Amino acid sequence: MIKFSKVLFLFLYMTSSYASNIEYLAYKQLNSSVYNKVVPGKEIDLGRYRTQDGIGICYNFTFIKRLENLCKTTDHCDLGNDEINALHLYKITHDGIPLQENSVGGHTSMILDALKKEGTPYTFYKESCAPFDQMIYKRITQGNPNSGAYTYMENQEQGLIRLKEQFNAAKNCADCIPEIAKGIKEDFKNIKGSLAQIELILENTKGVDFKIFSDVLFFQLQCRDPKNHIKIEPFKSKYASTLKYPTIQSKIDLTLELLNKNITPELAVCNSPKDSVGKRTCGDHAILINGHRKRCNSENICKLEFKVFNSWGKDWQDENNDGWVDAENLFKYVLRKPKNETDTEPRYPPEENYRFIQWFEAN
Amino acid sequence: MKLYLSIILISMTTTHATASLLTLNNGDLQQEIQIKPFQGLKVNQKCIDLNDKCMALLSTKIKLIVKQTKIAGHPASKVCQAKGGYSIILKDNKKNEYDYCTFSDGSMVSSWDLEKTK
Repeated sequence: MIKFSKVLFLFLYMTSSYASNIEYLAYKQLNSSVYNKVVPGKEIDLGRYRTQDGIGICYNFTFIKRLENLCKTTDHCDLGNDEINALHLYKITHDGIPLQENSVGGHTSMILDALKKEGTPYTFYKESCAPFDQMIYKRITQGNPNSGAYTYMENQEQGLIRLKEQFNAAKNCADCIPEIAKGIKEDFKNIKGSLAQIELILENTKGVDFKIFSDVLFFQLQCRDPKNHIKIEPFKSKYASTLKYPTIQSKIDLTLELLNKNITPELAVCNSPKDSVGKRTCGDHAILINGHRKRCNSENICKLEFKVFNSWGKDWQDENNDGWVDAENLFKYVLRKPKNETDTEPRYPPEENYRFIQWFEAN
Repeated sequence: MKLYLSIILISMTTTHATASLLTLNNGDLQQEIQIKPFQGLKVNQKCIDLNDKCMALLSTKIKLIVKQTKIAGHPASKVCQAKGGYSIILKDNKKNEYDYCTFSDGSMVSSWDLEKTK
């Protein structure tokens, strides 16, 4: 019995390790001591490296960077010196505030659907109004150091889940409002309003839904003023499924074609199949490709590299060759062959497991 | 003697090359955080001062029981939380963002450095 347990544990450990490493294999770099000559290609400037931190969703970050690039390369919008507000995009997409528990990842079409509901032109608050890095800074007192990733996901969301509970509680108990306001201020230290202002917002929640409440709570009046919004005209959102581009070379060719048109494609790695209880756990990753170049060896044999623009902060870029990876390897592991070939129309939530390349173009 | 001097020189230049000044933007309060290499990790001065009592450093000794099976979200942030810290974002002077794991004693370590020790 003991032996069986040991074997089972070893099996689970091995399969778990394999699963956790497969996406990482996509980021394999070419050996710079062998391929020691870099032949410059093209790199599209996507601005600063950002991080989704523990609470952000990769799809929102790739969406924002792609939109900002569209603004810079076409006359679809004017960013000024600002950026699209990440927290605001979450609010639009998730009907209030970002809750990974509900969103289980994300999907470009899910974001587009939410935007279309809001109407055109698409409008966004400016990042400077409520910077993502400041707004997510919050008190976290719960957590078991020995617990794993999924326990962490729940704990990380505590403040946001509690906010919804506090909103509902304030509606039903006027006397509780001072205590509730104090709790909100502790969870979200960087909300601009004073304790008295938060109390005032809570006192006026009658007839107000959570989406409006969180809007008022997180964004100051000047940010909500339409004069200060970033407006974006409708644009084309296109994709290429791995079914249409079945070979690695065809995916590489498409990516090169897009990059040469100043378009930064997203490699969508999400779309897991349903789990054992039938719940979709769409929770892999989405990245952008913003450059290509070659590396050649002493015999002038060259290999192609793509630059991955990730949403995992600058440290990740620095420790991963600034994102330059072996192009073939990237597609071999990130956009690996789908398990099922019946679904060719990627919508959210997808019906089957597949991977695809997605990009935006001007109308 | 030459070898000894070379080691000191390499050590000094390495430290200089990787030390950096990052900013924590906590609402109205901007705090500068000096990040330095220490025992193979990027940590803040507080951690260096605490030395072997630094929680950020001690957290590297914790081996997580439950392994992450998919790259959902941010792998390094998850490891940070699983090891008892909380994740914050620091910025450099070009506004590039960095993930740091902060502990209740005020010590910080690069979340990606911590991720390697999971």
